Amino acid sequence: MSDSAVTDQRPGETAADRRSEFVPVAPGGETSSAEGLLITAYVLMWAFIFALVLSSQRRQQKIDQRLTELEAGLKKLDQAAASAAAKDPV
Amino acid sequence: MAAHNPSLASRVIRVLTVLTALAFFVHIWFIFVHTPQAQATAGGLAQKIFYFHAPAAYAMYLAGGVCFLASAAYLVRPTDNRNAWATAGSEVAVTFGLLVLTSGPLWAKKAWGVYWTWDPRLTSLLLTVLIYGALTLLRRFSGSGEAERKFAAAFGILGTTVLPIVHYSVKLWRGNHPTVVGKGGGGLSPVMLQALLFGFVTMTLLCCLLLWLRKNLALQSTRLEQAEELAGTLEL
Repeated sequence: MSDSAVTDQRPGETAADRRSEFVPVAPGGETSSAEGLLITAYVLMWAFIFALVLSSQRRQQKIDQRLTELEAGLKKLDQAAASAAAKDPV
Repeated sequence: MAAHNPSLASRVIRVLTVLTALAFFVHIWFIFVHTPQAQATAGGLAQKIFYFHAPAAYAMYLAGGVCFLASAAYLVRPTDNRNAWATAGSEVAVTFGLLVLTSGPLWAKKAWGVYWTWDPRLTSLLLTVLIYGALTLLRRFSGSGEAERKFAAAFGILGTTVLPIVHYSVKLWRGNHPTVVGKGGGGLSPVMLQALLFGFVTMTLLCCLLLWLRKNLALQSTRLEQAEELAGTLEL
């Protein structure tokens, strides 16, 4: 690297600078509201967690419903077998 | 059929839920009451996103690690339990990955002036989330045969190999993403470091809770499928 290339580098432009501090990609004074960004980030975080918990709950309800149906079917089968055995004890 | 203890499962869920809720309460209180605001170049108030952004990335590694171990164990000796853990690992990894992918750009907008840049860490993280997303969809919609399960397990192992690339991308390719903690990093004040460390504890608890919940669900789905097969033979 030539001397001029070294002296032409502004602070924050080297790899070491980027590793240890925040170097703007688009310099020129960011005007977005920090509060707005922070609140949005927290809302989205809870939204993702709740989405996973809700989807788990919905799947659990479907499993429970299907298990109840299967149990009812098994009970009917058991009763039918018991009445058949009562009619024909041999 | 896999062994399953419902009372133990619900007890673990209850304990983990209480611990996670308490940890979240203390963590948020600590971030907003005790932790000082960072310098403007780091995003000022928006820097507080960092205290769950970095721990969420760590939780994604944790869930990915569970997916990797369970998938490898499944390939060695297939069981319903191992398949359930691998399924839960990929699902939870996607959730935490999405958390990182949405919180990061919001912070970046303030610190970098843009929501997104094709930085090596950001790009490799996006790739990881897409891989785990594909794996989750594969497990959900490709059926539950032995061949599909083995394919998903192999995919889970390969997918997890991207995680070290995400972690070391900052050092390897020197993009815009800084190394805040660790060798050569910018560093944190002791109070900020405490908030971050507590964030790791909180996200570990949340990760364990979600993994346990999804593992139980995956295991119950498998047991239901097996019961339905049996019911089919009995013409129920």
